[in-house]
Amino acid sequence: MSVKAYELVQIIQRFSSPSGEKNVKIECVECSGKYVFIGTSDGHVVKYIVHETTAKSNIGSPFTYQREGQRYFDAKKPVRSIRAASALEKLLVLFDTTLHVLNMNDLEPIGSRLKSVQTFCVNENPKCSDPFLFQICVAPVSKGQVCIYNVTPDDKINLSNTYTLQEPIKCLSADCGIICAALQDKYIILDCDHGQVQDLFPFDKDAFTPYLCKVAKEEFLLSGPDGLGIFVCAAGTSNRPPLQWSYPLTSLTFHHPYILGVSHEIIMVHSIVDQQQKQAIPFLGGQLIGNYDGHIYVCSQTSLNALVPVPWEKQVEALLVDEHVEEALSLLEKVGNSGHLVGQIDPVKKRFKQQAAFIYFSRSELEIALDLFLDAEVDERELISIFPRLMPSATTFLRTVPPLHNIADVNQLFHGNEQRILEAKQFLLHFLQMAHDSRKSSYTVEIDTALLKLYAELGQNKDLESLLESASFSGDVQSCLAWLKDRGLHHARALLLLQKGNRSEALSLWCQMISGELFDSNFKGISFFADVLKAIGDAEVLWQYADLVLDNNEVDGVELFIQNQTAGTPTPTMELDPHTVADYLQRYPKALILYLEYLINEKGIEEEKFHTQLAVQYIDIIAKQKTQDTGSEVDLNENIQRLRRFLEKSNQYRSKFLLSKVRDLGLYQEVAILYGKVGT
Amino acid sequence: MANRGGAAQRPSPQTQGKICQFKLVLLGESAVGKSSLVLRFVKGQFHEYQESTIGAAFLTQTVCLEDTTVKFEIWDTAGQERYHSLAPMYYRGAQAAIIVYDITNMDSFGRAKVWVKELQRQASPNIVIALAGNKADLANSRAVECDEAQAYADENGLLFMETSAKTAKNVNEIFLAIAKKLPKNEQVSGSGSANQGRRLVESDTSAKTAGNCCK
Repeated sequence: MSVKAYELVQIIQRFSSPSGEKNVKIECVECSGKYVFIGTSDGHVVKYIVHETTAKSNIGSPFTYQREGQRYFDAKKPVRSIRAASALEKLLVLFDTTLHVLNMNDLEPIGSRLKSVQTFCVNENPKCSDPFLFQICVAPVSKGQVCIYNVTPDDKINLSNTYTLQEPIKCLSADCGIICAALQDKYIILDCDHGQVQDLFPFDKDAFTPYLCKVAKEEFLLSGPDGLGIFVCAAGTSNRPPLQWSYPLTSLTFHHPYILGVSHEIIMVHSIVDQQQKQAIPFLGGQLIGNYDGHIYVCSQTSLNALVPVPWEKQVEALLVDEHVEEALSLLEKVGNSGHLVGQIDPVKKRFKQQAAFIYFSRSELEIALDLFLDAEVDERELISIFPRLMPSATTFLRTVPPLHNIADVNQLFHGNEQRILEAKQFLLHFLQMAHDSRKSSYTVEIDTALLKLYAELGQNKDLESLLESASFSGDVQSCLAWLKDRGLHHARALLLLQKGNRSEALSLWCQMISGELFDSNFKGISFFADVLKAIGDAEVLWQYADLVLDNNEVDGVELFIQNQTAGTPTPTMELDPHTVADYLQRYPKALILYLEYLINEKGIEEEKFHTQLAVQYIDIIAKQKTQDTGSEVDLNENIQRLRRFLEKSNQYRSKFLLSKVRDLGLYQEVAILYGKVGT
Repeated sequence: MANRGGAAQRPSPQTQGKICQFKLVLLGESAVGKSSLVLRFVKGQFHEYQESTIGAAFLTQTVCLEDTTVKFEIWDTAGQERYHSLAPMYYRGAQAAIIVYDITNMDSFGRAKVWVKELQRQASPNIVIALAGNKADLANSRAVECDEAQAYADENGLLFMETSAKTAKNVNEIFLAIAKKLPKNEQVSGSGSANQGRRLVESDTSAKTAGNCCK
């Protein structure tokens, strides 16, 4: 019960009768435009003109009023009801049991009168095409009847229909073709088209006062037992659950979507949507409330007040201040999207939703917060900025004013609770990933910077690397580098440098990792470095680092020189002369073999020099193994097999040159092959 | 479905499942477990100390029966005697009613019989009435014999089950039995008033509830 839907504002603090009599009570009120009519217990109708000033002063009421005229009826009896027929400029006044028609301007009686009237009501939606038709439903004194009259522009009150009821009516309300009424001891509903009367429910004739009001098309609200408010439709059924008033009613009205019930102590505001009480406004001596064309007036015996609807923006604002966020959102849902195109979110609503999102965030209700942040398209920087040090170092971002929240930062918010701070960081990470992937935000620098920092901090190194390896990373380099350095993430640092074109610094970092000067377990070693060099595709750079790689690992190193045609990405092809490479690799026999095999087997180069050189390399290994007796018998045999297969397959080598070498090693089968080749 | 891939067709009532809405009311003496049955059926929950209902409560639940989706609009009435006079507001126009008694309380069974009579006299003539002997989990303290209730139900053409909102025994079953017994096609009915409140909505049109302009 925290909605502030209405504000009670005084108009006439102390009403006094034109007669000067004391203890005169306000019996009834009516309003037409800026005119307010008060009917008194001493037979007066008093006309006021009421202005609502726009300049809101704190001193008093925004309303000013002035008495414009009055009408005094003969006897000292009360004016029981006043209704205005604004279009006809007439006032219908029930004085004692006579219904008078007055000119609204000068309050002079005109036309006919109806006698013996117990009560009456206006049907604001009569079933008739005449827009000037003013229809009233009249309950005669002590007769079981209801009579429909049409008040005409020529000052006549014409009887249009009469329905017979079991008992006289106490009070009634009408809409379209339906009249709902309280008889002496029960409520009934009357279908005028069919003339059918349906009993609703009984009540105690003496101890119970019935109240009823129209709430929707052909739907009424009735006061029932135990302070219940029962809804009823034309068919005599209830289509909404009942509501309950906590204080005995003295008057009842409806102002969409609120039901306003007045008691002697408070004004109770219930929502018709969920039938729950939303607001309680203290008001002593409440007697009378009415909705007069959208103006709500509420009276005690001697004061006239207005219930001013609080604009929905203010209601939502107040709810958010008190952190009644669910109610604020449900109110937002009910407000139409005024003045904005379909698909566009009202900026005011957007802001409220963002505020709500921060409230959920601060409660660690992160799923709801996420939906709201996304739905309300929050400026990502607002969220990033409550996490210390995640913003780029040179940021000029300032939080929006007035602020969306009162969070200084997450440490303050969660009082240093590690678990909650961690959850918040993971939440932000998830949020930023979505923002990064969607590419909708214009704050990619801030998003990517924070994303990198969070990955680094939370140890999500794989994600960190794939972020850095993606072409779309646009974080702030300086603050990211510093962040990574502080956390010993040298590999990521090198990736970032490389990504930002700072190649030499990146490579030198990796060199330091290879040499053991720096350590980062995320660095995958020399093969990775070789891949980087190849990807760079710059011969100069390649030659610069080739020794380093080959010294560490010949097998990985040779990959530098092998243009892998099958790789999916067309690496920038370097023009590497095979002779230069082969000469260079002389120092690295294993690498040289792999390179020559690549030239011959993969590239199909038929140059004699390479073929002979490969054979010589094979022979050298065998020779080395034989003389030094290193390696196993199996290795030796394997190498001999390799040589044999090559000698059989290739026709490009210089057989004669090889012959002596092979013979020296006592490889007679191979000697035979060579002889065979020489012979051809 | 022969011309699959042709022009988009509106789903026809023959091939698409129907959605039927039915108004169902629960009646019975106070504290027999009406709200608990509804809570079990709608939310699958049970509260040992269910608060007593003030006036009436409204809930909905949907069940599927072969090709038909049955949406129950459930009116759970207050059992206390002072609210008795309000009951017609809620059972009027209902297509189905569950009259609940407590198997450990003979008086509540007597009260259930009075409700049956009232419905037979005043509710829609075609109303489907089910009798639920609730609190079947308390069979140790049984005061109403199952056979007796069954015989009474048979005599009066009522569905009958002993239920337990606490253990969920027969709760879904009794609602399903009612759903099966309710007429699911728009037959030409003899009198309008008897069928008032029933809305039959094809699934390709959004269900609009007349008179509920405030959502």
